[in-house]
Amino acid sequence: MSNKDPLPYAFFGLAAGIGIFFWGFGVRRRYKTIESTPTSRVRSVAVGLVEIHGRAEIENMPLRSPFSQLDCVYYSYNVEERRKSGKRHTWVTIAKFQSSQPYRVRDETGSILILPKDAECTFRVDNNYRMSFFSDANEESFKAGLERIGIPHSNLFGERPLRCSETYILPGDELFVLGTATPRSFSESSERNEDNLFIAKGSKGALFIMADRSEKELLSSLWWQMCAMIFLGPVLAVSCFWYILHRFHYL
Amino acid sequence: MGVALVALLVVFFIAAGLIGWAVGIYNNLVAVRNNVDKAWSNIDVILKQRHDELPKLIETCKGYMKHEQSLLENVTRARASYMSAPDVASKTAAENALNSSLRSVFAVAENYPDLKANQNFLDLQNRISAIEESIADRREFFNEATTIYNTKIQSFPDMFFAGMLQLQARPLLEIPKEQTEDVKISFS
Repeated sequence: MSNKDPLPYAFFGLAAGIGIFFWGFGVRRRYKTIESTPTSRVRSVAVGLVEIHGRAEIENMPLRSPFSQLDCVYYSYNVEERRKSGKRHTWVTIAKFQSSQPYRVRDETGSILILPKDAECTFRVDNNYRMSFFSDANEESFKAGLERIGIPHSNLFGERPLRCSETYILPGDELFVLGTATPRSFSESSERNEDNLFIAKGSKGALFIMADRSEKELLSSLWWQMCAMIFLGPVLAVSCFWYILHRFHYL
Repeated sequence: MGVALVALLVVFFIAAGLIGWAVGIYNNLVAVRNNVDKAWSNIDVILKQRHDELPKLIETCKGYMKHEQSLLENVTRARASYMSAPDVASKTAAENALNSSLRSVFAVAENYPDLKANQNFLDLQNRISAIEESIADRREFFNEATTIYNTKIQSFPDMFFAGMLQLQARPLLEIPKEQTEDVKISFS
């Protein structure tokens, strides 16, 4: 088999197609859970899986996003480096971070604490940074941000080929949260129901989703993912299987 | 043989797809039914608080509303049927009847100035109004959960599974706007 022999790719495609097909059912489960969970008002949130809509609020101190330097309630980033692998270049993640400081979500009836640790975030990327040939203000913020998180932007050979995506939630941003409401451990409970609870990831396998889009948009996105996976997975697997059989002269 | 193997793989995907699809529908129906029960438990706590105030309200009203005994009896009966209701559907129906009776009592109380001036009655009125605010949010949640459930069990193809599971449509906690406002009347 030469290096360009597609047979290994065909085996990979067969396995991937089967995996994608079953993963599609996982997406379907998430779609159905979001679709069938009624939206709660913060004031009347009950223990268990809940879905709320509201605006983000700072709990104690604001966070500062490392690259854009904005006061926010949550941020995440993903830094990648372009590396050579054989004859090809690929982007490899060298640093990834998701803040876990609690914040609040407020609707017209009250506000409730969110513990974002282990949340599955569906946020639009707010900023993309990339080292470029010509230095500009964007690249300067990128370099400063890299220094803040302890990643050197240059080495012996010059500037490293890096890129980064940053996401943040500013106070006042609209949010959709689906998670598990859990009682807070206080010596005395508050009269307000929402002060006695927080939303976080529940037991293993429980959904915990934070999104900066409406439920309708989220469902629409999941629906397309689900359809693509359930239908294209088998197409990929069958095509690859067909090719494998053909290569081994069964067809 | 090769074609047979490809056909086998296709059959595998179709079978796995159908099983996954059926399991998904079943699990989702169970989840929406549980959502309704959970939403009910959430509101039931508050409804019980309000029901606890009713005997005191009736006792206070009795002395003044001598010609309205049937109204008061309706409240007592509705409360009793709520207490003895075996499931969420019948409890919801009983609660709707109770609200209707209660609305009538508050509406008729308007014609009794002495009752309106009674401090006990005013206190009870205020407590019931305060509880009503909590009920309003939870009722909205319960009704949304019930609507999702009712829509699911009546839509294709979920209806077949709902039939097998013997899932029945459930009533909403229907409280017209003016009825809610009546309960919130302040006599002060």
